[in-house]
Amino acid sequence: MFGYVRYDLPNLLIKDFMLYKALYCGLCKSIGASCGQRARLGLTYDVTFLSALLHNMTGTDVRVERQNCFEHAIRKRPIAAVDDLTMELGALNTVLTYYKLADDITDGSGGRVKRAWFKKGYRRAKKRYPALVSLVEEYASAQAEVEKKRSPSPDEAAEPTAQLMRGLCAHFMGERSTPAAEDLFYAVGKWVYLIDALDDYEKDVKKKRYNPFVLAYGCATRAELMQAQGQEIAFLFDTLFYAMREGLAGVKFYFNRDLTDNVILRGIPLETQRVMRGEPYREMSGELKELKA
Amino acid sequence: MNKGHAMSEDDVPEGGMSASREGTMPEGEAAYDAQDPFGEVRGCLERGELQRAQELLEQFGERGAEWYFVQAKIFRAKKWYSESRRCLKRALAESPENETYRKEYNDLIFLAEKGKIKKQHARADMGATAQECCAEAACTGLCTCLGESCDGS
Repeated sequence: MFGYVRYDLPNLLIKDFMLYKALYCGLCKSIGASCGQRARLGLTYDVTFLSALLHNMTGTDVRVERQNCFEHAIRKRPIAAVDDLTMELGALNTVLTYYKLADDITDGSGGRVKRAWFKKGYRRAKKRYPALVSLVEEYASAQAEVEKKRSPSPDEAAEPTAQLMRGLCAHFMGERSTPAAEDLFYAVGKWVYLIDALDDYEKDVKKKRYNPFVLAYGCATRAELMQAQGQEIAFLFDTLFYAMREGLAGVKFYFNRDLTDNVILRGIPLETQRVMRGEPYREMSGELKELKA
Repeated sequence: MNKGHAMSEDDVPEGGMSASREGTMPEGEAAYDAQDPFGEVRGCLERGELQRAQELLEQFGERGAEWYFVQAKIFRAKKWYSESRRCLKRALAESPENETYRKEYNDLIFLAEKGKIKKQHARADMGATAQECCAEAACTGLCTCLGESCDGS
């Protein structure tokens, strides 16, 4: 369930695009620093977004420096300097990747070699951030419970991921955490689970894997599902957009919020639209030179 | 597989349907008030004790329209809007004339309407209408909707 939390490039200011890229590279370096170099392959957009959001909501300024990395060995890039928050987010990225691969194995989708690749990083994360890892462990066992029960309720199926995000908000923000902030994280977590379930609809039907939409509506394809239950699905996501907007309105931001607003108010709805229409996944434009064309 | 509902009809409501009697005495230790059988559940709901409210509600043997309405309120407090709407539909199917159920249902639909993101006008500061957005953008020559969503004035 990675890669859905994305920005909407045409509506992103250059300064925010640069900040996003710096945070992305900074997170990659932080994963290396907290969990070892191998774990850097698990880098995700979702945790990059969390980095942008949490730096802003905790009042932690991002220091951008020109640095090299192994992918950009010759020309230096603006990269967010590694700080305590990014280090822990790097560990979170590794732990989530590890559990996602473990889940793939349980589902019969393979991934043992990939999981072995991340095992050392997972162990390092667990040793360094036990409280964080226990949050993710709780989530994994709650998710396994829901899947074992084969709940046909999208709300119930998404609850563990939503609660994990709520827990992460409280964990990272500490005393600064507020109900509005936790509600925002809850809604984003719920969206991540549901959009992944909707996107995987046909794969899950074929492989007979757990998917609340399949159990609830029983259509053979996603296109059929959208035709028969489009209003129900739209209601589900519209209420989530509402919850995100309500959460956003009550959250205190310490710095400019254009980047995170772009992701939440534009990127997430666009991605929802893409999945509802059954369009293929597109990589995000990541280079300024692509914009020149 | 159940078609048309996010949860099977028998999933939450384990007991039978009863349109005549809405909720019989709970089997547990909860204080029972014949005038307002759901009073204790509502109290928990008001105090934010959602798990306790759910436990008390599940003790009711027969489940009528009011039971579904209270279940919908619990779901809404948990932000399970889809389940809340499903329960309200069930309550309304049994008591279509009930204004309170209708109001709660419409309220949920309105909430989803508010959540819909306007294609051209999802703004960082939120709450601005399309016209406000374009009027403001026009002052600075930045209105880009080319008349698609507003008159560009």
